[in-house]
Amino acid sequence: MHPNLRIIILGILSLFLVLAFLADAQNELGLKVYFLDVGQGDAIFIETQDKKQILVDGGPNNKVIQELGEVMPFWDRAIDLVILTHPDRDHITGLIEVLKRYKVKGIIETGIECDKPECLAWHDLKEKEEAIIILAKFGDSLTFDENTKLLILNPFKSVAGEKVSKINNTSAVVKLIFGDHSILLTGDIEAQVERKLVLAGVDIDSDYLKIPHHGSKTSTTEELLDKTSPLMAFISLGKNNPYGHPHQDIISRLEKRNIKYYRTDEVGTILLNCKLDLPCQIETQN
Amino acid sequence: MTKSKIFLFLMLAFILGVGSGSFFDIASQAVLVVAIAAVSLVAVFYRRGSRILSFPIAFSAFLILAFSAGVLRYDASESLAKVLTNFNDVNANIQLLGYVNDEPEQLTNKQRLLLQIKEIRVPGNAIFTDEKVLVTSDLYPEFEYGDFVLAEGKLQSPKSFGDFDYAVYLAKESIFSLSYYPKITEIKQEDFLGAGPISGFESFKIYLFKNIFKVKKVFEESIERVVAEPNASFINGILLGTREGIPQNLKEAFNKTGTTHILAISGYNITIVGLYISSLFLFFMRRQKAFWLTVIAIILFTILTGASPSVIRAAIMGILVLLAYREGRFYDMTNSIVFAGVIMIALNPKILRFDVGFQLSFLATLGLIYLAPFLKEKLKKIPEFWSFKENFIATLSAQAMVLPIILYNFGSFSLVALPANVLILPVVPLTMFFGFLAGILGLVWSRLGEVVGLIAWLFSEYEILIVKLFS
Repeated sequence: MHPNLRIIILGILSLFLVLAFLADAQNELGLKVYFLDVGQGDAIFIETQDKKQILVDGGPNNKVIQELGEVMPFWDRAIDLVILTHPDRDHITGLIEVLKRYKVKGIIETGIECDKPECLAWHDLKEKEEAIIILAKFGDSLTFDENTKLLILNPFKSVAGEKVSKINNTSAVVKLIFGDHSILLTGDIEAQVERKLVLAGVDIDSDYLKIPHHGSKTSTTEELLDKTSPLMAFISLGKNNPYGHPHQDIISRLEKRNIKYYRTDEVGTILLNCKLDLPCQIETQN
Repeated sequence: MTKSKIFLFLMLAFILGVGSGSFFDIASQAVLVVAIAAVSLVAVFYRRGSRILSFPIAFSAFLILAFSAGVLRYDASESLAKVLTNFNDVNANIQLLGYVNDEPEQLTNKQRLLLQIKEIRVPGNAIFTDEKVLVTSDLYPEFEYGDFVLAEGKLQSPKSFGDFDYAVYLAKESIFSLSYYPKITEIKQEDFLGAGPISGFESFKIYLFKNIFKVKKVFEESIERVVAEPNASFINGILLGTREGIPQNLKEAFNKTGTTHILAISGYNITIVGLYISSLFLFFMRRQKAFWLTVIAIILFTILTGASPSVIRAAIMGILVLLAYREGRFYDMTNSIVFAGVIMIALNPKILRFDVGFQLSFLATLGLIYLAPFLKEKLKKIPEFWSFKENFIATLSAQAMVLPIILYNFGSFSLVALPANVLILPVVPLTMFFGFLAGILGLVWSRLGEVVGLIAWLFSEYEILIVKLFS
């Protein structure tokens, strides 16, 4: 190879690298919450104002990896916090591959007993990952910066190591607060837990709500919607899923209250972008 | 007629025989009779300078013999023992015991396992066999090559979808039964009823490949840790030929631009890699030594990728092209190439008609050997710029040769294939080099791997952008 050519190649290479970094750095600031389009399941990626990254659930397959490739900077091979709301397949599967590929610094999970093949793989990889593990229960909280806080609202008491028949109702419910904005992530909780949250007077009032259990009719009670009183709601689900999600009743409940909602099966990945003291913006893939 | 010509014609007769066997249902007995007649004719009358048996007649007799051998070889490949197909599309669960006989193929939402079945258990009976079943199952639990498993479920015959003849595609790998989401449990070798269903040679093969695949997997996972998606899958594709991780839309973009071949290890890309490696070696040593080191590098590479038959075929073709380049006497290569083809066809006669990969590999090789020097001569006046011209010539000659096959199989030919390939190919070896380096360093020190991974990411991003642009 010609010596000059080498310098040219090197030059072009560094130019590209600088451009790539710049392109990523000039991204808008603020809190970003992505409801990733992973099919019939949940995967929510959050980047705080201080660029701390949180992944809530991983969806039913490995599509989350491709989606993360789109929303994370290309040089970033670490995720600060992974939250597993509950170990059902449509929530845990993609997280296993995430553990394989990314350095995960912290994990929040409920720790209920589970011997599904996915749980065993998750367990093995977790042991290898030198992550801090927090077993979620009501009252736990994490502060990321002066404006950003994460509260755990369910389970009411630790269920770690317990054998549970209704896994959905052990889902970690997470409230993310950023300045005046608040987002409620509800996993797959059903009516029973929703009522419990309402009756116990837990502060679930939020601006944005992730509809529990992909819009199943066993969840998203009138009480929950009244108490949360969201401006907007998000439903994470797959196109033509065999469960008939979202249920028509749930859609009517949202429409009755004039709550605007977005569905990942219709619009693909949804970005909720919030800045301090400004209303949040929505961007969708399709 | 020279000896080498005679040899060539005999080989062509064999290939023709296999081809005829695959297209027409020729009865083995009839072929045997003809072959025996031909042999006896030669045996009885052949004498040096014989008047009765002149050269043309003797030669024709041998041609008939070679042709018959081809037909018989194909027929033999058809008449494999097939017990499992009896259970296809029967609405009852059966138990299959065997081992995982290939790397599990991890797709986005499921995995595919190729099981070598040794034992079939139906209520009150056990049948011993040695056949393959392709199993589709959930992503977890994960299995490894060589794991002994018990699969309980139903069997299905492969069904063709759209234009794609899935049954024929699988038949060339001797797969005639599929199973969807059976219950799979890991077992031990002692759980087999048969006294010793797995022979010493087979155990050795399992042991060997288990370790090869382990190395491969460790390497792939290292790449996946240091490079973001979809670039990591792309790099694993061009380095090791694994492309299941590449998103569907990107795969389609590669198809549309006629660049899919860089993701599959073909004779063509082994040649390109081989040429780069040998030019690297040429910096340090003499031509002869560099050539042999390149051959060794290709062999190691073949083993690392799992040494599947298609990669072995590609490696042989690649080495032959390198040999032709070294000798500079392209026209002497005919016999070696046809001979390599004959061996491959003799080992698995089905590839001649059914394996598009083999056909493409073989024809592209012929193109590189015969057409490329001719074009080079014609384009003497065009200056070389950073191997653009070389790639242009290589692409053009390979594409011209494979055109009929592509038109026949895919019904379309990509006009953008030429510009896309010319823009991408010079960067492919660089991507491979930095990808390989990043993978290795990632195993030693992840930080450093990530930094080198950035360079690999950049090159792969360029290639992906070009492909997306042209599609």
